[in-house]
Amino acid sequence: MTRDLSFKLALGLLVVFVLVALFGPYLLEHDPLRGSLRARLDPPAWAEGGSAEHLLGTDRLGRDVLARIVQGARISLAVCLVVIAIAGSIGTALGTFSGYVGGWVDRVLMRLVDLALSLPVILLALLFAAVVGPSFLNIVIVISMVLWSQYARMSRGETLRVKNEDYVDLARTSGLGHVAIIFRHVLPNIAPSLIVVATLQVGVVIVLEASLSFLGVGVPPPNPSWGGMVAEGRSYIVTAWWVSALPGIAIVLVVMAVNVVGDALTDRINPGLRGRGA
Amino acid sequence: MTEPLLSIRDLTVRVGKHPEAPSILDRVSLDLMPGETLGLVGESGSGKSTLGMSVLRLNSPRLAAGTTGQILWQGRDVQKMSARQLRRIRGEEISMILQDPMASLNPVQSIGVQLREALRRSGKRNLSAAAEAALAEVNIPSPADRLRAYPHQMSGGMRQRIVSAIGLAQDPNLLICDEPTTALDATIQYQFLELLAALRAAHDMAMLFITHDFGVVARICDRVAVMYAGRIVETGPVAEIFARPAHPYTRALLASVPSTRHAPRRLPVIEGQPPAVGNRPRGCPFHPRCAAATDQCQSVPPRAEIRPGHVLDCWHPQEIAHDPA
Amino acid sequence: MTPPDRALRVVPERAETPPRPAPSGPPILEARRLGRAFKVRGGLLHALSNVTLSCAPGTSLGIVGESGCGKTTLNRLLLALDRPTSGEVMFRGKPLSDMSRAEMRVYRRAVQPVFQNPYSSLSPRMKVRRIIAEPLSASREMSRAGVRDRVIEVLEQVGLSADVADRLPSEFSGGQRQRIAIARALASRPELLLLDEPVSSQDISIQAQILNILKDLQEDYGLATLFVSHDLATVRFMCDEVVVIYLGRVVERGPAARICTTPDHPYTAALLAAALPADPAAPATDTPPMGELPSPLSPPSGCAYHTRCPFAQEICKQERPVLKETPRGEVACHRVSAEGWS
Ligand SMILES: Nc1ncnc2c1ncn2[C@@H]1O[C@H](COP(=O)(O)OP(=O)(O)OP(=O)(O)O)[C@@H](O)[C@H]1O
Ligand SMILES: Nc1ncnc2c1ncn2[C@@H]1O[C@H](COP(=O)(O)OP(=O)(O)OP(=O)(O)O)[C@@H](O)[C@H]1O
Ligand code: SF4
Ligand code: SF4
Ligand SMILES: [Mg+2]
Ligand SMILES: [Mg+2]
Repeated sequence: MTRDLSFKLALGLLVVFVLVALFGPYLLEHDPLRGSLRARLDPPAWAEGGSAEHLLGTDRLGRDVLARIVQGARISLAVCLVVIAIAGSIGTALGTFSGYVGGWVDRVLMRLVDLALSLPVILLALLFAAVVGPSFLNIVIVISMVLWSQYARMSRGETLRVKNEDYVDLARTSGLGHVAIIFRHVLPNIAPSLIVVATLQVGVVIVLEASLSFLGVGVPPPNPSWGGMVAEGRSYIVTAWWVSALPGIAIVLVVMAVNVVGDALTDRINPGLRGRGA
Repeated sequence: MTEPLLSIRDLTVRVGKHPEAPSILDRVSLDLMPGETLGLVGESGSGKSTLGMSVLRLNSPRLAAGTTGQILWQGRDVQKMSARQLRRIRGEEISMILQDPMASLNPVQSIGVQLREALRRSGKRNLSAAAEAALAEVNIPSPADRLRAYPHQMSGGMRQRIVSAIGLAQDPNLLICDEPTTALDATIQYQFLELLAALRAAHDMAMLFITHDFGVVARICDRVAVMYAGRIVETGPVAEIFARPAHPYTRALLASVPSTRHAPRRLPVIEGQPPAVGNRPRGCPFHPRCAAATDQCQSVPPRAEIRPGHVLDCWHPQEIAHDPA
Repeated sequence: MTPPDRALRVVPERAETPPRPAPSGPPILEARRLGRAFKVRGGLLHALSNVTLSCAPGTSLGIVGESGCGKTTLNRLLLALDRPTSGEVMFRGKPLSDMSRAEMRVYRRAVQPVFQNPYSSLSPRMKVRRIIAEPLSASREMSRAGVRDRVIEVLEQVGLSADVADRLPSEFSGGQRQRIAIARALASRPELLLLDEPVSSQDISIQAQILNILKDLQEDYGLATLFVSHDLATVRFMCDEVVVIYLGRVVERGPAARICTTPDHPYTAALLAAALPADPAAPATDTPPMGELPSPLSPPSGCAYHTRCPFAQEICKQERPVLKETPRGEVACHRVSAEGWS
């Protein structure tokens, strides 16, 4: 009962997050990039000295925090989608191939996966930023370079499982080629697990993107990113806590919601013994 | 009188929550005493596996949502247990050997890893030796080498025995076996049944034994329940059911057993098809295929105990003794 | 000169299957001295050694043997799902390894399997219609409407109604799934069905129905079958000839009726003795010879059965008996000669 409730709450929160990211910027009057010097570090509406003009207050350049959080949601979502698309397709293709073919190909690719998993993301990003400068593209590439390996690992494991199922052998005795087997039998049967990985990764990507932006090698200012906002506000954390605390809360909420939903999906899709219909 | 170990009352399992949804099990009731072995036989698709899995709440969420009635394990209602209580029962008190051995084996882990995990959960020490012994017990040759093998490297019958080894490793009070011997040849089946009989004797294990092999039923069960279309249509002591089956379905089933002694040109079959879950006939579900059916059979048949312990749902119980081929 | 008494005690047959028209034509599929060894940790595992057999049109061959003796391995070799490490599989007289793509397509259509496990035989995310149509659509020789009709036709042949075509496998019980698998195998109108324990997961009434269906197919269309089973009674019903395998080797071969009543090889006799009568009042079968099960990883010397054989002699431990012809069939046992038991 309570699990059901938390799942619904989390799902609701995610829906809000996506809707805000998609449509939020059109509904707000304030420009997230432009501030007014007269309204610097205004507190949120409910705090002492706050006004309804800036519901969540303003930052040190007088930019509306709410507008920036909303715009930041859009950037976070964009990073997530692009990273998951890139990492997902590369990882799935390599993992499925590796698992299906087996042998030395599999051994080599799995070494590569271990390597990717041990890459120090932050260091890599710093290096990258030093060479080509921080940019949206940079952050997407760096995160994808690390995250593809999780899809590879999952899709390889699942392919190994599916490959030994009799229906794959039966497809071969019907004269289906390997490519057709991969598309018709393997991918549809491993898709649910990959969707779970993708869901759980949304949280990881948001945190990574925030950390990188926090370190100044992510989304370049003045574009608002949640991580960047936390970083910018941290020198005023005592006097103007809202500047970094509010985007911080946004990060925590979304990541928690994603994890709750991801866990629930895992339970539903891969319930161990359950659900094989026997 | 002793309390039943497991007591199922009016268990109905529907496909989904809706009260009009088709039911896979229809008001099934049974009792199982400590140390008793109940054979569950019947039509493919009559709900035997669903019944077995209900006891441990292993059914898919859709079926779980449509489950009503009571399943009392030592007096406690399984339906109302918390996830934690349920896990304890699954690990320590009731084991189930699933019909599909691959569903309970992880294809990317070696047999040894999986077996040791099961043994660890049941509090065993010295896992490697215990795992080897468990495989030897179910007659897997070269157990030490086989522990390192993966499920796909084993034959069908070996997988089945490995799943059994995992189920037995927990020393359960109740073992639910869903067709554990279908892939075994006669000599190994024989040994496996001996093993179960020994375990049963050693610690009073009760068994719910799902099978369609009447030879196995005759060998190991104390009582039989015959299922048709989601209902238990006849139950009774084994000797009684074999000697005087009274339900027309049971009789027809017993008549279809093939024999090594002769090969008829045709095996006797029950005419017609078993009904689909959503499409079960009213009244006695067997009436469209029953040779003894009358108009009366369109309404639900009464339950009668025709001899001590021999209960059946039928308007026209058959009384002539059955002649085993 | 007396056969083992286990074999003697078997009741003589009552009715007999009328003899079928003699097998016609050259064999569809043959195994020639087929062997398969798997590399595993712990050494080489000889799953199958030196197996020769052939499936002619209209005949039905039974393969019997204990769990793990290599029946499925043999089946997979015959289906070209696996390559033999020795010997050859021949389709219409030509080795599979020499066949062109076009020839392979003919072979794939002509030889269709049904596997042991009905749960993993059906892709969980495909509707029954697509599952059954797969062999047809893979060959791309039939129109859509043709495929659609054929699906319904084969479903009806195995006793399922047309409306199951649009459901998913998870909605079916084990027995129903196996019938779907058989329907699929029939879809491309094969000449030979390779059946790996196709009925062991079903209730006996459905078993009887399916066995009858398969027998009809044998008799009406001359469909050849290779029937793997561990159940002698089913084999007796389905097959003309039986090959008994023990630890990867053929130990006995002969007409089904003879093997199931008066077997020559002590292992076959044990199989018969261990079969449980469906009758609790029947006198308990005396314990069949059990002993230590041998492992294909370290097969016993000499006759692989000597660790369990009640008739073993010194020579059985040292020399492997060869498969020799007798008037009753073929047998590999030191104590059986053309004249009978010694
Ligand atoms: N998730 C589900 N959704 C819909 N129908 C289901 C589901 N699971 C099982 N069924 C149906 O419930 C019926 C009972 O299935 P069950 O597996 O319990 O039969 P069974 O008696 O064990 O048969 P068998 O001897 O063939 O294994 C079947 O007709 C099956 O189609
Ligand atoms: N891929 C593999 N790798 C290693 N060993 C294997 C592999 N496949 C089969 N074996 C081994 O080969 C032997 C024969 O297995 P097979 O599956 O042919 O037996 P079977 O006669 O079909 O038995 P069952 O009646 O239990 O299905 C077994 O010892 C098995 O462990
Ligand atoms: S109630 Fe009627 S239809 Fe049902 S089994 Fe008895 S005689 Fe047959
Ligand atoms: S050769 Fe010897 S050990 Fe082998 S079956 Fe014959 S008598 Fe038994
Ligand atoms: Mg079942
Ligand atoms: Mg097998």
